[in-house]
Amino acid sequence: MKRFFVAVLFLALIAGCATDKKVTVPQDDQTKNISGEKDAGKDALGTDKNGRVSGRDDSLDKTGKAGQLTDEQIRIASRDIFRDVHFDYDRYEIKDADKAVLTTISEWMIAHKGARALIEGHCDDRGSNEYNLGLGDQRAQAVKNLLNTLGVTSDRMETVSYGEDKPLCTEQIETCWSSNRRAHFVLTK
Amino acid sequence: MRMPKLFAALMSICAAAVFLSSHAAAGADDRVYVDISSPGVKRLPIAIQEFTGHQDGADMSEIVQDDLAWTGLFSFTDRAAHLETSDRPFDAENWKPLGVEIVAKGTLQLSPEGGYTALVSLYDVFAAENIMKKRYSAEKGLLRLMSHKIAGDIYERITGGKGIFSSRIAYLTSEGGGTALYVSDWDGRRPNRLLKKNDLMTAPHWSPDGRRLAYSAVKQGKWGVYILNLDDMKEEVVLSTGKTDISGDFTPDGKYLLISSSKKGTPDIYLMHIATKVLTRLTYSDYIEISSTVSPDGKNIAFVSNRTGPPQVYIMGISDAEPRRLTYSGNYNTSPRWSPVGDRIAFSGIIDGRHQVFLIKPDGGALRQLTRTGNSEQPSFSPDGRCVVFESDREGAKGVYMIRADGEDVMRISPPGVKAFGPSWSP
Repeated sequence: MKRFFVAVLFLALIAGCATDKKVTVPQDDQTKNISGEKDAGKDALGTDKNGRVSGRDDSLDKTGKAGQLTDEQIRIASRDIFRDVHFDYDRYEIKDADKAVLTTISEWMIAHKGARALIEGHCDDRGSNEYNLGLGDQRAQAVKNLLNTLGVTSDRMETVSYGEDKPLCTEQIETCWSSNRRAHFVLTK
Repeated sequence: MRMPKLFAALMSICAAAVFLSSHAAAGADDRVYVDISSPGVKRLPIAIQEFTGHQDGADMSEIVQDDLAWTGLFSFTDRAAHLETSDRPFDAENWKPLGVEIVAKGTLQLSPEGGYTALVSLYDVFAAENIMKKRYSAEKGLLRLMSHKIAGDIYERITGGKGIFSSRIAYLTSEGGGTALYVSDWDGRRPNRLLKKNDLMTAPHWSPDGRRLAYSAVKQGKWGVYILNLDDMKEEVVLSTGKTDISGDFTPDGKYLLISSSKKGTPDIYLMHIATKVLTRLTYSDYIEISSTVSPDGKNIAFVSNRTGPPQVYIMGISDAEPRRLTYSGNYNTSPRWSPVGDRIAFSGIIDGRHQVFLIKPDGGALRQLTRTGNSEQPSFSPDGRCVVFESDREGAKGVYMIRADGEDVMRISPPGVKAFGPSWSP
């Protein structure tokens, strides 16, 4: 991102210095040349139409001054970015369908260095209490490990297992059981 | 912390006050009237007559009779059919026609200090002689404890075995968004809240001397293993790795605690030396190992592992490294607890979509389903191995219940209307 602004400044300088020629560089080309990525549909900041920021340059920390996250940033990110990740019955592998969510989470964590996440592991209530604490533990750790490989350092993530004891719902049907088999994020600064 | 201090005070009063002096009855031998180790034992007809002398005597004999009735070893003739009233001296000729074999009589008096003294006698009808005579004293307010002591002595005289009537049951309840730890009498009476935490707890484990409880609890998003000393109600965190640390059994010498911890990645079984907190790792797999219980001779442990897929119960020598799978029936078996007598392990297995309590021998034989109603989980044995306490949703919300190991008679332990779970029977 920095390089982009420098480039714009540079171009503006050139444009400003040129006496009788106006140089305009198309937006698309600017994005392509600076970042090397073909991110169609993104504006100059690399933000897509859903308001999500992507891009590999982590040198621009979005936490603002002194690395402080605002409560509003936490609230919005908790709602939009830090979605629950789900698991099959008695399993703790990360499903392919959730890898995009976790990638987005890792990118947000990288861009907001003041943030810390508590990853909770949960189970549906069909198993036994203590075994489900072990299962929830492994679900939370699987998520943490994946985020770690995606670039989030371990010291910024804690895990805790709540087993079957903090369900979202209690109906004895598959849709309820599936929503309870989850890793849930609690974001703090 | 008013309640725990009161509990500690009550316990010490109890210990001081319920003492007995026993007089050996003339001509008494050590004849045992019921062989509790032989299966399908015929019920021995006995009579517990109403204790006389004080109006509370009737309550006492009622408690004694209820205690003995629960064992399933005795039958009781209707008191209306008795030929001899409780205040008359024992005459074997009054009992032979009824087929009654043992008769208990008692008297109750208020002592000068305001407590109770009781004198209880036991008679053998066929031999026409007194076989037990004991005196008891207790502070007022400890009537139930004294009655349980009497029942235990009668039980021991008749069967040679120690009764469970003075034992206690610890269990958890959901309370105000958190979890509370209770201890009650063996029959669920006099539940006493020891502590309350504002987050989750796991089932407690009793130390062999009955003076400590070990359990796990969440505090500020972190699990920890705690030991509560019942003498002074002091609580100590013995392990908190930041990962999932769950308490298992104390070893029979009381010096070690079995623990499951995921500190090294996956939950593994460890042995913790309580005094030094030094951990010795017992399992090394990349799977979940949790819920550890120890045999009464301290040589073997049983625990849950999912190394072959869904969780099963495994057995291992405490100094071995090679676990042997114990459960092969059904595809989800957890929550093992070793009987204090050593000959059985209770566990919870899923059958027809619900959890039920099963018993199995340590060699894997004699598998038996004990419960059939609702979901029944987290079994724990009585000190004599003849009863199992467990949690069940058979009446809606989870509650703590007890069943005899012969599968007969279920009794509710926890109060109705309370969500109760994670029971553990004292030594």
